[in-house]
Amino acid sequence: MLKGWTRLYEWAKTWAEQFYPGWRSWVFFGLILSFLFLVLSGFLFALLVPRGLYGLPLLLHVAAGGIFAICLSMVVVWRARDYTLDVVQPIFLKVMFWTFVVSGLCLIVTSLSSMISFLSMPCQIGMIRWHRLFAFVSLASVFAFLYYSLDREK
Amino acid sequence: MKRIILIIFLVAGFALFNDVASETSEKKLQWNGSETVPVHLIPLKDEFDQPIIPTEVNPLPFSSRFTCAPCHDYNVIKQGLHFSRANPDLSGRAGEPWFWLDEKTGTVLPLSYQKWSGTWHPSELGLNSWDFALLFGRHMTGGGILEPAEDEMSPQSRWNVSGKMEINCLGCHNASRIQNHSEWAKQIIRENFRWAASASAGLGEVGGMASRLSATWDLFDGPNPDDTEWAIVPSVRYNTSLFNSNHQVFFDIKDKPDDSRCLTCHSVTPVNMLKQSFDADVHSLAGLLCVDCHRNGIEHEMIRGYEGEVSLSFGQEAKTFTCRGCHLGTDKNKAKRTDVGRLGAPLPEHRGLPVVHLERLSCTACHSVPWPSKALNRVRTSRANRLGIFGIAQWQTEMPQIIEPVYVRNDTGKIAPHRLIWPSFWGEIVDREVIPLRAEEVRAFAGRVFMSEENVALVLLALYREPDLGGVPVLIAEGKIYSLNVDGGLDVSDSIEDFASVSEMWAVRTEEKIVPLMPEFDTEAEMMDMDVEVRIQIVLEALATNESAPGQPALLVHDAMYSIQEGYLEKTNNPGEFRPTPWLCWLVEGQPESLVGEFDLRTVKATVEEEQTLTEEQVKLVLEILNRTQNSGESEMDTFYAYISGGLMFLLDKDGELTTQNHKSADPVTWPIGHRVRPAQQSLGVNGCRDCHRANSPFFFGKVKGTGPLITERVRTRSQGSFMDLTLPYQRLFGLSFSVRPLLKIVLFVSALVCGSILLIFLLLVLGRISGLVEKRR
Repeated sequence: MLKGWTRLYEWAKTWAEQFYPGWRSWVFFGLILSFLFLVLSGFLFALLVPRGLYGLPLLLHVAAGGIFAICLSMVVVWRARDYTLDVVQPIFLKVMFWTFVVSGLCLIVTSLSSMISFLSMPCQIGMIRWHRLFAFVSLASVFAFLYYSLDREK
Repeated sequence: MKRIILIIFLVAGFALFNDVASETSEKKLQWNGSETVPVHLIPLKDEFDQPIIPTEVNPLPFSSRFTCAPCHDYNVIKQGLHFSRANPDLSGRAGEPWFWLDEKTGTVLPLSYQKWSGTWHPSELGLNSWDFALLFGRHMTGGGILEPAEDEMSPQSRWNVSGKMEINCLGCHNASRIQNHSEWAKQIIRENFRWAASASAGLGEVGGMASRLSATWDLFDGPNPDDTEWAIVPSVRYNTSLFNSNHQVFFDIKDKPDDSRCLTCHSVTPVNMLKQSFDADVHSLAGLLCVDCHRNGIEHEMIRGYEGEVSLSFGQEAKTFTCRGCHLGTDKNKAKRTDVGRLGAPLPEHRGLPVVHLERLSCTACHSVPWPSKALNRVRTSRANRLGIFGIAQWQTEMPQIIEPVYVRNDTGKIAPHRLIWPSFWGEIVDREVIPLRAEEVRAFAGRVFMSEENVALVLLALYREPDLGGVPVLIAEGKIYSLNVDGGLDVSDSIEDFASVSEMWAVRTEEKIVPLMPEFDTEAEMMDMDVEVRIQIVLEALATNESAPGQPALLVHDAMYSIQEGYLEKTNNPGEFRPTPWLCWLVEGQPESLVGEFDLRTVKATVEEEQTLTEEQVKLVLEILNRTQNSGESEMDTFYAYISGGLMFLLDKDGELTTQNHKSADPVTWPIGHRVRPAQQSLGVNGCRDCHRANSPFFFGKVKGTGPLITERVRTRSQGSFMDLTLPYQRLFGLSFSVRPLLKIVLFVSALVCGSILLIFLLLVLGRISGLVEKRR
């Protein structure tokens, strides 16, 4: 178990050194950590607490969401060119990358729309459902991306 | 055989009759389908079910039980909400309790027959239905405990004299503008219970007072020919022009009473608000009547309109008369929500409102009562502050001090606005519980401690009776002028500059000026000025008429003392200290004492025309008296007494000093608010989340400060959040987060824009490649 985590960390470190040199690595790790917190807080409360996310975890979830949005947009700007059609990359990785970007965008939009007095209450209820769905899609794409990358490395 | 046949015949006859009776009774409960109200041209019946002939000598008052009975089942009606308040099993959420007030002793005790938190059951205070009727009958509908059975009447009660207080049907259903609630209240205070309905409906004039009759009098005794001045037997003189030749009367009946009928007992208005500034509930302004939502059948089981209400008459339909029921519908399936918009209720969109608000807050939290502010609003209610009774006498009271809105988490876990009161009473501490003492008991023990105002008033009254004073007697003390009012109390006004620094002076006020009651004069003169001599004589004679005087009145000037001896003014040596100016006093055992003691003067200065009626000094004195009187050594157990006010328990410590403690008996009593509902554009949150979610928002952090009849700085203060069972530091942090929320929105918006743009570019590239518009990069 510990071996697996060490391997994952080593992979992330190598990945960061390779693609996010210098201060850019902060953005990369910011994305990873905020995503991790969002996943943990969001899914744990959604699955285990009938009331859903509330209190301090909700406050931190919202704050982490802001960090995630900034980091995601920067990563997309820097790394989108590596996942275009013309770049030699496994197609599965490209699909997972763009799936992550799309779901990330939807997560941002669904949370932003809940903060502005624009949508009626039934729409907001729908937005929360969509938010949860895109969170799941996003998590799935990350798992798939990691699994494929680590497997390929092996 | 014949006997058996006879028995069978009788049984069959009884069964048939019983069937007919129950059929008739059921018919009375059924609606025949007509939406109209029948013309009520009906004969009046008295309490013996005999027709009333108005021209008869000494006709009896009409009885609603028998007058309405031919068409309406009184026994069914009397089960209704307004008539069964004494039923302890009555379910439902808490409502406004009754308040037993005694301003003099600073008693404000919330009473209820239901087991509502913080209230006292009347029987715990020794109040029976008779006492309750006298205290609160002014704002009661009659029926229930006010119509006790013979075996329920306590020996001390006077139901045989007053008659029972039958349900006053006309009090609500009479559409005539002559229906007079003030007359009802007046008749109740006179103990003319059985006459009150006739008088208040304007059917005739009711004279006499049952309260002045002997306890052995009853209706069959008739008028007392020996007393036509004082103990006059109540009687009704019907307005014969209201009766037709068949002795029938037309009642202008409305089955759906006007709001004014409900508001007679259910008004709630802010203190210090001008009538013309008062906005009514938005539903009333939209044209709805109270009874459009608060409906009832013939059982009079009113719908109260709160969520979770159990209604036997309406069953599940009761849900549709809640805020949600009318505005959002009761069916969660949107496609089937055909019940939305009952009574024309608009469907709220709640744009941008997180759903959790609907789960955690009652509708009234945002839509009802005044906007939360740092200072809570004082309100007066009809029943608590005795509103809506008009006449020469002043009925309304400043106490109890009801405040709103206080946001409390209710039994269903929702936060809802409540009204609040801090109870105040004297009590005995038994097993760490505080058992309230009745106000009259406290008065009896306290003696003169509560009589400071009366003591001054009695001196002024004695002087007032003397016509030759040349003006109105007043007391001037530290820049204030105290004069007698029509209720036998004191009025206070600011003094003129000449007397601003006078600590205590008796004076006479004329239209132009104020002059000292006793002029200065030369005591050494050989011949006393006749005017002065006469003046001294009439003042001393007037003071001597004060029955509560502790001694003979006297005037001390320099080394001389003037007093009345056997009808003549006599000059003797001053037994007290030298007096540079004339000083009126009582001679008690040969020693001069001020007309009004220092304690009385201090108390009067602190309390007259003030809302608070008690000083800490008075509380300390009364507690000393109570502790001393009750612990006279006869019992081994020491008994301690306390006074509850402003959320704290006041008691004496070991050194005899007044100290305070928290105690659950001092906790505030709250009850939920339904109305006044504000329009949607004035609802809480209309300006955004920060209406509530900010670092110091009154909604969470407003202070609820203890109030009561005691003048003190020692009161309990609680924050609004403490009533909601919330973690306040978190709420403060959450509120602060809304300061950076605009920034978060910008971040999210820019991020979405960047990600969306790149995604769009990627999609366009893909499209370009598919269409051949974009070539593959090399």
